[in-house]
Amino acid sequence: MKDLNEFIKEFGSEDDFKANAFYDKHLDCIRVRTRDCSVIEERLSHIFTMLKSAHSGQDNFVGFTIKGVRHLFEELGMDPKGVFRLTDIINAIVGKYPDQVVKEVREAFVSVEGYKEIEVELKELATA
Amino acid sequence: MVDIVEIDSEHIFLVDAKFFNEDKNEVIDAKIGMLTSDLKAYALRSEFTQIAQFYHTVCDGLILTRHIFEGLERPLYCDGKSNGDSVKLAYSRKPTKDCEWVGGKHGYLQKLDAPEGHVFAVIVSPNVHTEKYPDIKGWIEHWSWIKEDQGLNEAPINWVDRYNCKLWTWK
Repeated sequence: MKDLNEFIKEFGSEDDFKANAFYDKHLDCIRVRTRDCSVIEERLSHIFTMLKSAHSGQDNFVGFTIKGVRHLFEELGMDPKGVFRLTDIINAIVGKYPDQVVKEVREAFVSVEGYKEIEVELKELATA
Repeated sequence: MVDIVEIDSEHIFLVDAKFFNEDKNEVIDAKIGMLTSDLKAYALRSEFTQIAQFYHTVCDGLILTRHIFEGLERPLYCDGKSNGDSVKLAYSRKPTKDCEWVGGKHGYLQKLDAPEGHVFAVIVSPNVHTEKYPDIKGWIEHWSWIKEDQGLNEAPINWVDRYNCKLWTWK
């Protein structure tokens, strides 16, 4: 079995970490990460979980999770196929559920460098 | 303790863990799997801390789980079923240590004290592909820190609302 160092050196990307989003098909959620660090998950609502750094005091937002994606897309009247800009998904959620939790997530998200360019592919959801 | 096996060209980490056997209403020692392809996906996104935690906190500690919960209280579509939330398992405990990977691909492991007042939770899905993987009881899908419940030591906060039920506690 490869140890941790061997695994990262063999399979790790040479690129520095950058903010990203991906669809987690096992848990039907979109995971948004803005920093590579240990995270604490804080459940905000049935849709959102906020991610905070486990070891830094201030400015510790490091991402969030959008849960129940398939159900959510049905609620939003969106077809869960293809590649989406995360801002479009967030804006759709804000339009449908304009509560404080959603606004809090959007506020944190727009503080992320390059947030407008972050995309997520829902290919595996569409074929599930 | 962790082994790695190859089944039909797929490499799988096998992690020692407890598993609640609902048929016999008892907890058994079992192997829980993690596809290396899932772990490689983290590596391709340069999320090395997740990999470090898998090696040092999940693999080394899943057997030390204090509680096993069943069912996530949220909509979850999985494996073609709309009630995928009901079968998910959450393993929680309170390790004393955490870790982060520092410095990108050519960086190093940094060991840290666990965040105070938090538990480490691992989400596991029971293995339904038992013909292909007869020795694997479940699949590791996610892990993170969550604030500790005030009423039940080593359980995630508001576990009563968060999960359908508590299956087992190590006493």
